[in-house]
Amino acid sequence: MAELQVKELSGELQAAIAGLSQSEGLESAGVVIRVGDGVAWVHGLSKAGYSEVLEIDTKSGVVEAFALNLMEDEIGAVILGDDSQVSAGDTVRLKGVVLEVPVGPELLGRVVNPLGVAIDGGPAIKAKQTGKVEREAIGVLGRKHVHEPLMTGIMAIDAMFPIGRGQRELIIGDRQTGKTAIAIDTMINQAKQKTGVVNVYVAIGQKLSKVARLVERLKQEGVMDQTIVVATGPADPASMLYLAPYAGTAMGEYFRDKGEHALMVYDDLTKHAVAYRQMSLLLRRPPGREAFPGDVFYLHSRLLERSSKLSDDLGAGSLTALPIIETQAGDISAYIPTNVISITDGQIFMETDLFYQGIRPAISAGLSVSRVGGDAQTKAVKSVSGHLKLGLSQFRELASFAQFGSDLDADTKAQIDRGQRLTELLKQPQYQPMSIWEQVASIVAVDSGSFDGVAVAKIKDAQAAMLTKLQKDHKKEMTELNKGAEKVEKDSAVAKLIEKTAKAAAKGFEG
Amino acid sequence: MISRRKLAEYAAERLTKGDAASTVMQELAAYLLDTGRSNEAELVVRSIEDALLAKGIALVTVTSARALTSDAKASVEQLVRSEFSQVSDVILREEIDVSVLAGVKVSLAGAQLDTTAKTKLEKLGV
Repeated sequence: MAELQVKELSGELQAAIAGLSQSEGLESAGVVIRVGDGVAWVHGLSKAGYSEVLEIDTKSGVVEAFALNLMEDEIGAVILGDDSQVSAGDTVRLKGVVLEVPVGPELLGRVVNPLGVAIDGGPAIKAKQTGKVEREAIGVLGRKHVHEPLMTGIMAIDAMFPIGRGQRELIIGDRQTGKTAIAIDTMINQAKQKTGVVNVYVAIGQKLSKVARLVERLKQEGVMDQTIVVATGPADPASMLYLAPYAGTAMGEYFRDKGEHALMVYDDLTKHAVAYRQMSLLLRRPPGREAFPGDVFYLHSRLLERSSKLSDDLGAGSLTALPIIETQAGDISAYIPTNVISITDGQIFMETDLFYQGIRPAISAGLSVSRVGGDAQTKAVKSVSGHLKLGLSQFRELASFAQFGSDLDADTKAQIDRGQRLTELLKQPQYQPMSIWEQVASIVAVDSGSFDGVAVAKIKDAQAAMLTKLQKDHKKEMTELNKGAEKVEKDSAVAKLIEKTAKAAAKGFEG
Repeated sequence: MISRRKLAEYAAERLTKGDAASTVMQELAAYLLDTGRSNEAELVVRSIEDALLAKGIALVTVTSARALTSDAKASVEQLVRSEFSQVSDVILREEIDVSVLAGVKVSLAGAQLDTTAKTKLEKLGV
């Protein structure tokens, strides 16, 4: 072992010496003119490219930066690291590469910073490959339409706003409305259902205590083995927050390009836009609406365009994105929310009122939509949930009017009763994603009226009793149903079996 | 407002014509002060170096641990001429810095060659 280490060291030293001896002759050099707030202004280096990495020779070693403002005789470069080490007069050299991060299976189960450096206390990551942080999105011919489901395990989403592999579905809502919870449950579901989808969770300016709790939970749920966490905290420089989603995407793209499937969670892009605004203002770019720079749309569109379902020729891999946006007082017409809504293929809108009414996940049936996921929905879920969204929206409208008077006709009353039961049924505790058969059976039970006699408060108990009974007595049928490949018609044997079991289970819970 | 590059080109033109450096710099300083751009002084000087290089005059600073021999100076001149074909005059300025230990560091407008032992050791992480 000791001999091996000496050999390795010797090899590394030889390589380092070879690298040094190659650089004979004059090389382009610039000089730091001024520095502050994480930005260095460099004179010279007229051949620098956009986003190219610069090496600043400081008294305490080399500090890297990347060029973002290329002007007539000056470069505005954002420092990747501690700017206090950089001082005016320091020499700057071109590294000759754009920013790259390590990618590959070596990163699975690890928490890294946006440069791919491990920050979980584990051993250094020795990845065999690197991926470009800024990379052009796949073109039209390299893509295929979204047609495979990415099950979140959350019945309200899988039934009403299905997400497909390669889709970009925005999760939007005020603070503390359960946005991150939806993303985490989706990640957990990938492990529970053994879908093989790799999760990449990008924490942008999140409290590190929150990230630590999340990692702990993912470990408990057994999801961390197929997850990469790219973490940046509020104390990190804006450049790191800016890079985090791009670096995470590069890590996800590795799996997509290998024909596998990856899920990106960007938590959250509001903080990303704020970090970019800070950088842009320090780079003296002209401020626009809400002081954001003019290219803030491009900032997110070029990021989310990298999510895609690849064509069969390219291996048919996929990269699905769940960006998160935080709104202020439910205002989805603010600048960044409207931008990201228009970029993505749908949004799941979280309502504060619903959250405090105890309806969790607090998904707004009226404002949420999935634009491309319908094709990706499993046949079984699609066949039973077609009318669910409309029914729930109508119920919430009717319920708000019904509170003003008690004289309701029988039809309206029946609709409200059914809506109340459906709302209750769609409530789902955190960290408990549901499989396809559980979702189908639950919807069929309410839709067929089997739970009409059950007290609203006892719907979840009746549902649990029914699912236990189905699992225990009809395992074979439920395993088949879980494949989701067959439609569940009203008169089908499976539907009748579920109805019968639901009615039997409902008996103990009449109200 | 006259751009930095135009100012530098004007100053370089005057210097190559043989005007006294002190006069040109004094006029430049007066202009920068008058237009409230004194904080650009260093950038203007660097731009003048660039402009002079474009006109064939290379202002080269050579840093070494010991005084250079005439052969070494000739080598540096040769190196600059080989890298920049337009250079007709090489003006060498020597700096002695014992902390570089060995080797030389050649710096001119927009380019550098650092063969000092200090830098090599730093790159090796010693």
